[in-house]
Amino acid sequence: MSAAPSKNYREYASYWSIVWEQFQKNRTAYASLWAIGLLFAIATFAPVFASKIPFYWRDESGLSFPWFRGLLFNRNVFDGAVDLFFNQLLVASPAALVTWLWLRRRARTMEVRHYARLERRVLLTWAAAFLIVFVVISQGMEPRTALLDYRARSWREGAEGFLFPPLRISYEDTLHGVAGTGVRNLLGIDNAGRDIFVRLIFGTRVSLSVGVIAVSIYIAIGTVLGAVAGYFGGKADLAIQRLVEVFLCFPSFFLILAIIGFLPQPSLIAVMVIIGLVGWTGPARLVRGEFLRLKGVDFVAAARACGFSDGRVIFRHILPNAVGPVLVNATFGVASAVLVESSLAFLGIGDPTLPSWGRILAYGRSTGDTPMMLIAGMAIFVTVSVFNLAGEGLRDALDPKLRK
Amino acid sequence: MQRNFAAAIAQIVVFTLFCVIAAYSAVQVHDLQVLVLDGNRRVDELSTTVSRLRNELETGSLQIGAAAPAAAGGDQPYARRFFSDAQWEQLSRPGNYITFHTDRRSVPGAVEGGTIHRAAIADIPGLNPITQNAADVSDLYSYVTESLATRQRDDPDRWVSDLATRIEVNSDFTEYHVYLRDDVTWHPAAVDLTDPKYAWLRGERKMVADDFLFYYQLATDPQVDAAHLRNYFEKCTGLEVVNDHEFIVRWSEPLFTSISATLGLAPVPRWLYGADEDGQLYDAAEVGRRFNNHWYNQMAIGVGPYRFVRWVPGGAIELERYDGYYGEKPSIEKIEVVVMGDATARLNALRAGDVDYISVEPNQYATEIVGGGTPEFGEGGNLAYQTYQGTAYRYLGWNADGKYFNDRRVRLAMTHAFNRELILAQHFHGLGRLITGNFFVDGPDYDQSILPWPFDLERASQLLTEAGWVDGDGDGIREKVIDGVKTNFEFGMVTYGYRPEFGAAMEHYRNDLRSIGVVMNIEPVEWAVMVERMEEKEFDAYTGGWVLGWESDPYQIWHSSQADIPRSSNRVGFRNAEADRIIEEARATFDPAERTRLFHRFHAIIHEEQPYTFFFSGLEIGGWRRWVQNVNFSPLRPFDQNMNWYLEPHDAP
Repeated sequence: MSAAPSKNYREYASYWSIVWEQFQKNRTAYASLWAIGLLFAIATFAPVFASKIPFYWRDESGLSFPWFRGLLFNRNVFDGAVDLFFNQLLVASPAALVTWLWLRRRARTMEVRHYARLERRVLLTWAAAFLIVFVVISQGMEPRTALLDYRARSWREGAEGFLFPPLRISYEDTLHGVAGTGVRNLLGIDNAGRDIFVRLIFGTRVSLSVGVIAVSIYIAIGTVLGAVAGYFGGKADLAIQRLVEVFLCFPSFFLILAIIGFLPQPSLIAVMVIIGLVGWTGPARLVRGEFLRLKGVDFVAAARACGFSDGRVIFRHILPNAVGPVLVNATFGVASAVLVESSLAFLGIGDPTLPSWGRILAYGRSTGDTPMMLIAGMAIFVTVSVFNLAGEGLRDALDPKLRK
Repeated sequence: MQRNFAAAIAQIVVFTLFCVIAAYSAVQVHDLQVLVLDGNRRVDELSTTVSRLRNELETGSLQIGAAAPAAAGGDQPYARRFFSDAQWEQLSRPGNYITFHTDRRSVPGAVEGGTIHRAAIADIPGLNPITQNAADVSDLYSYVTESLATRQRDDPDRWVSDLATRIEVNSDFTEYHVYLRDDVTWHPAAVDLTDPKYAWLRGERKMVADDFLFYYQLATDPQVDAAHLRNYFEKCTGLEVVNDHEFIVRWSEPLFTSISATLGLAPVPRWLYGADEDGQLYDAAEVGRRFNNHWYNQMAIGVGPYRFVRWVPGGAIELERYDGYYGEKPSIEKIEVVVMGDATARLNALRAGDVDYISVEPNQYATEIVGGGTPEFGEGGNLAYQTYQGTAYRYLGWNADGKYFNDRRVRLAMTHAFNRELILAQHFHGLGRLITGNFFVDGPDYDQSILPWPFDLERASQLLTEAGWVDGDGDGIREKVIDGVKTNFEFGMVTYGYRPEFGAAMEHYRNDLRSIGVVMNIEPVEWAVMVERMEEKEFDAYTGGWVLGWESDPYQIWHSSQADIPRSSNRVGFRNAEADRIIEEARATFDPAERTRLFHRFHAIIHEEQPYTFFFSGLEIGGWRRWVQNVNFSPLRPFDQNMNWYLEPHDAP
């Protein structure tokens, strides 16, 4: 160990670790990043705070764990893909934490090159395993188990032991005339008798998933098209640029409204996909610009000289260097996608049973319930703001001229 | 530094002085204003008293120096003064189907004159008297024109004379002989009559029998967009003009609906709608086609107490009292209907005094009136409100031709699982009455002795189990084997998506159904899609509503022959032999008591069969400035347009 050939992970300053250092120096942006993390945590752990299903339940027929089962394996509790996704995240979070700690320990002792490879592999394995499990659970099976009315039973004879989450309310519960919720409604109830606070925290799931997935879709489309346009130039560039111009000349929100008009019953997934299909022009132009710049740089010429295929040059050599501006664009994109989803829900478009913030706002407006409007509006405002602030921080951190 | 400091001090002193002077003068002006206003008020009070006195003198409720009633016809009914001797003789001769008014348009003490400003929710699409069937247009026409006879507004079982003095009906109600008043004149056309182009419209015109014939011809002309009217006259064989003041209407078979169709005949002037803008009469074959886009369609004409003055599309409609009206004239001189699309704007306009009467939205009722958001509605405030019974009702329709709701027990279970009382109270602010059947809740045909099925989830579960829907596999959802296929009880509820209270109500219903093992998916759709799906019968269940008349013929909605016709109103596929028999029998029954008995039986069948889950018949709310006096509501459409309202004098805003 006396003659280490290269520095270990901690001492090595890659491009991204410089960016990360710069980012941390921007206090607002760093705090916003924590806030985003907190939002994701709220979204993931929402059922821990609020559910009408107890963690465990014991009566004459024995001990059962309806809450744990309900997370993934009882569609009578959670039915939507968004909920299932976050529930799976919740279930997987302890294992993910363990993996992360293990990786940190390895990083202390491993060589940088080896560690980087290990990290990439572990990450990819995790993502792939997670997605496969998600698809299998959400599409491949439809497990249902009859549910007892635990809330009502907890007040009657026969319940020997149980533990409910702090709020004994699910977001779709209509509480008029329902006894046994145990707590007062923190922010009151809406016109259908549903607890606003619980809907608000479950609404985080809707907003974040729409933001992230819609943006992923359009970043993917935009990156590929932009890369093709920038790298090959000529007719491909011409065609793609004209397509971009055609898309740009429609105001995007009205385009989204128009497309949704064709769907008789737009689900949340449809909303995500449509936002994704409409928003790709920005990243496409960014990526094209980056490619035009990098195409003539020496390392690309070297890669080409080695006889690498176009695909390899594009994805392995140019794209990693062009990803900075796209990332900034994506962060702002999440903010605007959250806003678009809220606007659509406010206009009454989409699944009416979902606890979307825009819908809470609309109910508040139509029933003249000002606090309800303010709360939902604040939630939207905070989410959009933290994503915008983080995006700004990232933009500044990527800019070499602004280094501190 | 020193100079700056001094300058600042000087500035502050000057500014303070200025403020004091300004405040002083403001107080002075205010005092003066108060004095002037007080003077104005006194003058107003004086003129009110004078006009009230004059009114009482005129109407005979006040006599000077004499305690005895007025000399001429002391015990004559009030309505007598609006008929000539010959007309009165015609009216009161035995054998007349109609009688005279007992209500009055000017109550004792009413103040003469003034303009009432009413807020409308939406602009009208046009003013054609035949092709426009929107409710707000017909409400407007109730000021402008009249029909042969009407149901008396405060006593709807009484048919009273308007344009006809006498209607003789033969024994099986297939021939109506109508005698018209001879003193009815048409309003002047609402165009600039000084313009030489309209010289042909000058002069006074009498209403004659031919105006009714013209109405009938238009209503039955296939070229005219009046499908909604053709329905009523389907069995009418014709209208024969005897002379200018007499005509005969014939029907091919005895139908009780012929009474309201015949008595509801309204005149349409051939001299106006049968001619182009230059006064050239159209060819007889062309009239119907031209009528749909007639040049006068942006204006209205009639023979009623108010005459149409102008319509500014998107803005306002103005009506003015017609001096040549034959009957009792209402107190209010002008009516202005202002379009205000936004509910909050309407309420604000009422608070500011820009409008005098609005219809209040249920949500506003909850927050502004009951919730106290608008304190002026409270004790001592200058706004008043009242709820009144509307004729519309809400229901959930079950597709009896589908696989879920073809069993009476299932539909009944659905009703038992629908917590109507709670939902009405929570989501509709209690603005309605639970109903059990298809007739107007205050009308004679509705059987008040039938009580709503109670909310009872256990009974609902039991009924579903009896009907074969059981949860055999323990997944919390009931299922049944239909044609060899195991089917989960999971159905779609089509709702109109933009009404939040319906969404909320269905949300509640969904949870209750879920607890008895039934999955309901809410499908909110736009209105156009909703209509399409209802007419194509592409639904398991839907939330709907009907608007009813005082009496209604159940044939269109409930007769089994309508269930198999595409795009009919029997969307749920209700088929019941006894109900069919009752509908057919009742159509030819002219004794109201006998018809009521039949319809009570029909109501009982509907209640047993539950083709709909009847929900509630809504209350509506009117809100007005307290200077509008004698505000009262009629059990008939238009509920809030009684002509005996009057205005206390007040400052125009």
